[in-house]
Amino acid sequence: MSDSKKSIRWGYLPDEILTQIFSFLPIKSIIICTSVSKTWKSLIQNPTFISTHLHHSHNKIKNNLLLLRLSRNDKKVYTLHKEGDLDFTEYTSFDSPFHGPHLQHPHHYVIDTCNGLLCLSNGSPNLANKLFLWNPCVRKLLQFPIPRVTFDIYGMHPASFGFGFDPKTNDYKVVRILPIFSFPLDSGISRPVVEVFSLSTGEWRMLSASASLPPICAIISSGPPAFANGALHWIAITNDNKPFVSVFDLGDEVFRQIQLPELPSYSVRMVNSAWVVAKWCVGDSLFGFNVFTDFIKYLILPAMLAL
Amino acid sequence: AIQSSRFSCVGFPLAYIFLACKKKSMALKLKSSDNKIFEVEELVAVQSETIKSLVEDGCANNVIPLPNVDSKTLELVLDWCKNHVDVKLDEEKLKEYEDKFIEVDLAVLYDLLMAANYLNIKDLLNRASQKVADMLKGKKPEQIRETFNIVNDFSPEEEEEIRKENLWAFEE
Repeated sequence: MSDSKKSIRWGYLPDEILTQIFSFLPIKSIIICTSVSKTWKSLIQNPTFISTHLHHSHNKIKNNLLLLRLSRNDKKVYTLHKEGDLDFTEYTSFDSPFHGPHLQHPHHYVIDTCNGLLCLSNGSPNLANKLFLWNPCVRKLLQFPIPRVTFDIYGMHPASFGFGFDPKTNDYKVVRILPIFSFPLDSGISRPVVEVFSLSTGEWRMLSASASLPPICAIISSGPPAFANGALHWIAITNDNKPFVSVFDLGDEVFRQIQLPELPSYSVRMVNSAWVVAKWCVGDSLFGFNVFTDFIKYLILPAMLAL
Repeated sequence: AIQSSRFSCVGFPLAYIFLACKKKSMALKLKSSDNKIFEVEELVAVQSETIKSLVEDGCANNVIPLPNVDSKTLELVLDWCKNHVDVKLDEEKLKEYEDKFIEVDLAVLYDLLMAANYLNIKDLLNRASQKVADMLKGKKPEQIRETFNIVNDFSPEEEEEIRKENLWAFEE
């Protein structure tokens, strides 16, 4: 067979081989490949390829990456650094997505990150109503619709957000937990209101089925919850001030509880985040994925909450 | 006491299995699509997961037909396998071998990819894919189509749409 006849078949390589080839490419080349042919485009935009590529990059980078936000030449940039790199050399950097048409949101915060995607908010994360999903690698920014439960309904209470990926439905979800305080304030806490945003439907949904409701509690961990094994983990306290881990499974959308061990004194101890708890609960099976965050995740002490 | 008893009851047959294996590292016969017969050591051939499962299922006593691989490609593939039997070999030397091995023209590279996929030889498939990826890197869509002779089935408007959506990637 002549060379030219053979090379015609390059356009029709089996999907599994093309997937293999594309997974060796940097993002920029992959995007260029989407404009080569329809077959290539549909293969690259397929969720299976996306997760293969993600898996491949995890294996390649190995270290976690730390995300920093800084101003450089009057421009906000995000820089990534390999965890454990003592010289703290810059691995890569991205310009802030809020320029040009999005200039109206100059003050934004990182709510959390997952699989290289960033969930951003305008203003302080706790009081934000405008949320964005940013994929810095392909430089795409998406604004979420405004949550249904607004502060006018229940008052200005700091909400807790969580962001994660549900492998069962191949969907990214944002969870917003709004605490409800009854008056007078010392009469205790009520059941929080929970809304879930799903990227695949593009809508916020309130949890209402009794089986999926959170327990009566107040989230006390500041910063993003720990995301492990498809579930978000917050530190929360019960009505009688007992701390526990509130777990929300992104797949079945049900809250569960994990008891904390009896620690001698919460008031003097800083516990390094719900991560510790998540790690402790799932043992060695905790998967190391490339979380990068500029939040130090820690447990706020009940003593501080009382202030 | 438990350990030693476990050793004595398992150790004896294990030695036998080991001996049997050593003896069994005999030649397999592979038949290419153009009916050439290749005699190869089992250790070499079973780097192909496809052949390995045939051997394990006891289907490798006669000639193993490989209707999707021609003799020219099979010879190359087997050379790769021979050089990867003992991967504890000098890493630098192995890399040198691999780099030289993969310096082939596009038609051969295509055949290697297809053969590595069909025979399920992971490291060869990876190396050949990496080679193609290196050839795609830094090229414009038109250049990629030309190199790999791929038909552009986008309308000019559709192509422009993709370009506009991802301007940064198409800029120099």
